[in-house]
Amino acid sequence: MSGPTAPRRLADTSREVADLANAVVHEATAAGRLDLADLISTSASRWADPQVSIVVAGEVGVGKTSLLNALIGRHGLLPAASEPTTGVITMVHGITGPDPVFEATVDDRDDPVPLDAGELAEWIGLSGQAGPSVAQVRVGVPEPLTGARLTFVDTPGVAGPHTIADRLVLAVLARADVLLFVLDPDAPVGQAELDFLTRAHRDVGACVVALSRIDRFRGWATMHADSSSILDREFGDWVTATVGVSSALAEVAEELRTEDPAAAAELDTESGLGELRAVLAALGQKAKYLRLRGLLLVVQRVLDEVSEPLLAAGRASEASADELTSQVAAIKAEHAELKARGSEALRGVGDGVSALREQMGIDLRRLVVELHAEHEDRLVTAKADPDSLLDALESDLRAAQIRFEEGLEARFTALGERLAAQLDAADAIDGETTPGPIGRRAPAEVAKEDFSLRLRMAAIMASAGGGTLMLVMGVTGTAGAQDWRSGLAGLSMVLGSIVSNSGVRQTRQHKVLQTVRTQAKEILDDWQATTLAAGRARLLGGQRDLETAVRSSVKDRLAELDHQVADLEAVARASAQDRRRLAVEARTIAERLTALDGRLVAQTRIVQDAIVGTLDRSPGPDGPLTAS
Amino acid sequence: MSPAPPAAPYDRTVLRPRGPLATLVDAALARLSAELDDDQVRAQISVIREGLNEPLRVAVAGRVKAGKSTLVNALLRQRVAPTDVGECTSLVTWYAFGVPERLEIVRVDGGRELRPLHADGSLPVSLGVDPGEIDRLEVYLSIEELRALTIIDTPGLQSANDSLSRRTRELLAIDEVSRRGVAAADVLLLVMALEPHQDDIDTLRLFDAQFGGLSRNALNAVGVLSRIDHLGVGPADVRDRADALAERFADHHHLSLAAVIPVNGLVAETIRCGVLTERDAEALTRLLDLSPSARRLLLLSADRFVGSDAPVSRTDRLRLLTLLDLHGIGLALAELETTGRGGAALGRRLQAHSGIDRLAVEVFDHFGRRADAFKVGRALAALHHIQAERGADRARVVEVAEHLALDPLMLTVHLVRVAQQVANGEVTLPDALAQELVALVTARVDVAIDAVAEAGVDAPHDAAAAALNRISVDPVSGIRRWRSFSNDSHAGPAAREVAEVVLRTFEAAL
Repeated sequence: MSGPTAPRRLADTSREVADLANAVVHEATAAGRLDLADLISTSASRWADPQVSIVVAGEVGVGKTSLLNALIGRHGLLPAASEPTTGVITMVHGITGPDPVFEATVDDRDDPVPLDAGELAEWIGLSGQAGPSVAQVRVGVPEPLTGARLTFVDTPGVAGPHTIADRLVLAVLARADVLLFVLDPDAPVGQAELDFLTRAHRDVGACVVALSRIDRFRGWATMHADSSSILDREFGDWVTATVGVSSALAEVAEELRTEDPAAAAELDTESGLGELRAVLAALGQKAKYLRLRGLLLVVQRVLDEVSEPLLAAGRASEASADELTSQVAAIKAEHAELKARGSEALRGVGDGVSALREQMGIDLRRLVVELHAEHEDRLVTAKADPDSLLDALESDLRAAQIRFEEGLEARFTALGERLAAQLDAADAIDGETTPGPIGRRAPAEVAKEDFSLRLRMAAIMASAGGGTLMLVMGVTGTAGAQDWRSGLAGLSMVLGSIVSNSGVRQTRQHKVLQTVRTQAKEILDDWQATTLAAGRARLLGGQRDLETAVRSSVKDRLAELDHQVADLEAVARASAQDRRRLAVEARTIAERLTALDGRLVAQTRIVQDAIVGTLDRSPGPDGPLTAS
Repeated sequence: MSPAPPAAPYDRTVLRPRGPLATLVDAALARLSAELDDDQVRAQISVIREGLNEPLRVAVAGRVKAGKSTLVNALLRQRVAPTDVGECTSLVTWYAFGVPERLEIVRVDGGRELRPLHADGSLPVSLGVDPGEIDRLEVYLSIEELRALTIIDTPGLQSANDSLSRRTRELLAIDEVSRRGVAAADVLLLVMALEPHQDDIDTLRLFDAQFGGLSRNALNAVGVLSRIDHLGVGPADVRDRADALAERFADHHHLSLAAVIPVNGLVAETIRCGVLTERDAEALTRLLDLSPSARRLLLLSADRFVGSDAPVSRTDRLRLLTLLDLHGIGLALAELETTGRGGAALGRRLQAHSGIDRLAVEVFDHFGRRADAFKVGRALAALHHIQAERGADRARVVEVAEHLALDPLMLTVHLVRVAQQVANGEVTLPDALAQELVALVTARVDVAIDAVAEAGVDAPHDAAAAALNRISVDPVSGIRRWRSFSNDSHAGPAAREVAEVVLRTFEAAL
């Protein structure tokens, strides 16, 4: 950066920064944060202020006021307010008259109140509180720092027992160009000081650290080394210089000025005040850049504050859209699994019923064949002993009946159990899935339905079993008889009469036996052809009913779930789309803000270089950057 | 047979001086103990008697570099606490009476490690234990004053590395449980810079909270205004300005601090630890050869003092600077110039200037005496809670407790108790009466015990009169005031009891 190009650069930079500030004001206004937009306007309005404002701040009792008195070369002018309880700040500005002028700004009066020098302590100090509400005490001093147009603002100490002081100092900082921060070199920089500097760092363009009372310590620079590295780490080149000063030495130098000029000059140098004045004057030359820096800091703060909720909202929208999508996916997956398990359950019902049917058919056929074969054998034996034939026939029929009945009942019980198990499985599926949005059937309702199914099944079993009993009774003859025993008795009487006549009619024995055989065969054939078939038909009917009931129950539930999932998916999809759109919008804004932030960082660098650069090269009083 | 517990490395029993009230109560308890049949009741009484023997704990707190360790050294008359930043300054250190003199490192896990002190009585530079594993350091010294109290030096508050100050805040709570069991009153020495900082207020609040609001009756917190040498350039008016500042600070925080005492810690440490030698005094005297203006220029800054030409070697000047600081050197030169006498006389004069004597009186004398009232108050309270199975024993304990409570000598103890009730907010008094009570207690406690100790039988009357005299209250008008408050229908039974105790004090003075 060379001399001739600098004016153009200031103009360029200020235009750039103004554009940037306008853009951010626009964003803040769009975001409805007019308060933030105002912050920028306030900072920008300082651009044309001819005075460079330097705020003197530091912890209580660190020697701010003595330092300020020493800086303007008037020891004892401002009273050290050793009780920093008031919210009063003191502004020291240059005047053309020969003597200092004091006045106070009071809240309920438009005109400033003129004060005597002697009243100053009272107005600044504690007792000022009792009087009218003092906003500010102004002290006019003939040319405090020649040619530099510097205004000093003395503040109550920060980190004292009165937090109101901290707030007041920060409010003053918002309208300042430079912070002159006074530190005790003997004590490590404290957390309260760092907190204050962190807040000041957001508002003011540059900071100069003054280490006070260096006359008290040997090697104060070494003592300060730790604090210095902390400040460097936290604030970088925002702290443009660190100067050790001693107001006490400066005061003695002033006393000895005429008496011992050589010693006075020595003390002047040792006091560090000359160096501090030079640093401040150099910064004063860079006022325009300091203000740009200050403006950029405010712009940065506004940008951050505007961006933050927008970005957060965008992130939140995106996250909630993602969450909705994944929720729907999870529900769909659950639904699919549910369907798979439902159809498996249905398949199980069909399989179970047909397996049972097959097995029962086999059993029935085998029974018939067995009965048939046995009957043949017994008929042959009956030739020799018709009575035992009848006995055997009777007991055989009874045993066959019992066997068949028991077998059938066991089968039905097994079928019932399997179906019940499958129903349970279906219920369980229904119960364990579909959280939240999918309406869940009340457990009571499910239980009721389950119970009715079981009842129905039991009825089917009972009717099927009863039918078989009837079939067996039909086998024994006497139509319409309720008691199969009486049927058997009838058959035995027929056979008995036939056999008792055989002794008389030996010749017809063969024929009789033939007739018995034929009759028995007919009975068996008839049993096989009609009653067995009818029993099987009824059995099948019962099974079908049962199967249908189970299937329709499971299917109903699955269909219901289908609907619910579809509804939910539609709602979620719409909502997710909505949020994604919001997120995209937020991202667009964020990109715009990030771009602004990039420009801001670049401009900040340029301005900061300009500020630090001045100190390194110490330009003349008409330095190129004072151009407006 | 179970193995014997590991023996403590050194005997920790310490003979402690006992105040007159504690002596009275202890004697009564000893008699009571002899009359009892039940060993369990005797054991409870023995715990109470041990409580009367506990040392007072004085915590020293303040910001980093406020001069806490310098002050501790000055109080102990031994440069034992390291004053520069090192391992030890980041740890809490207890200074207690014990022989032989030694350092015990108390680990976080409760284990202890022994270290000898250096030949000059200072702490070892390296502890050989990771500071993170150390709970506290316990330094045992054979310093008579420590028989009555234990000093707890804390790391500084408010450093940029906040872990230190957090440690200090935790410290004040470390032995909440064990403290409940002992009958020792606790005291805060708050070392402050020239202006009250937020941290100082925070520390006081913390102390208030930790100590059950006890400090708010201004009985057991004292501010120490350190680094008074920073007040001005000339040594002559430093004391006046320090006193003025101290007074204003005391006014500002009168509810929290019994007093604010300005102390030049470095000068006090140097003199009380006997570091200033005859040779140093000679070097100072030689500086008087300089013309007043040359001397003034020499004393303007530390760099000048060591760097300029002077009739004393730079090494000696650097030593003087380390021992006394510019302010102390100025003080010493002014003394030498007026009195013309060096050596021990100079030391005495400097010590008087440093303000340490007043602080030592406050800490060792007043706190020691106030401890008497605190401890006895706790002992009486504990006596009421004794569990006895046998009716005869129980009746005897109650009889002794009531007899002690009615003893006119115990009026001070009752005053402290009701003042605590008011400070804790258990009892509400009109502001004017509350302030009068605090003033009365502060004056009474200090005066009463002296009087009781010295005057004997008539002591209660003398003590009450002296206390009222000290706070300029006329007993007759006082009685009228408190009587009318007590008769007021708005005053609750607790407030009436407070009034009764105050009235007994006034009546004793008639």
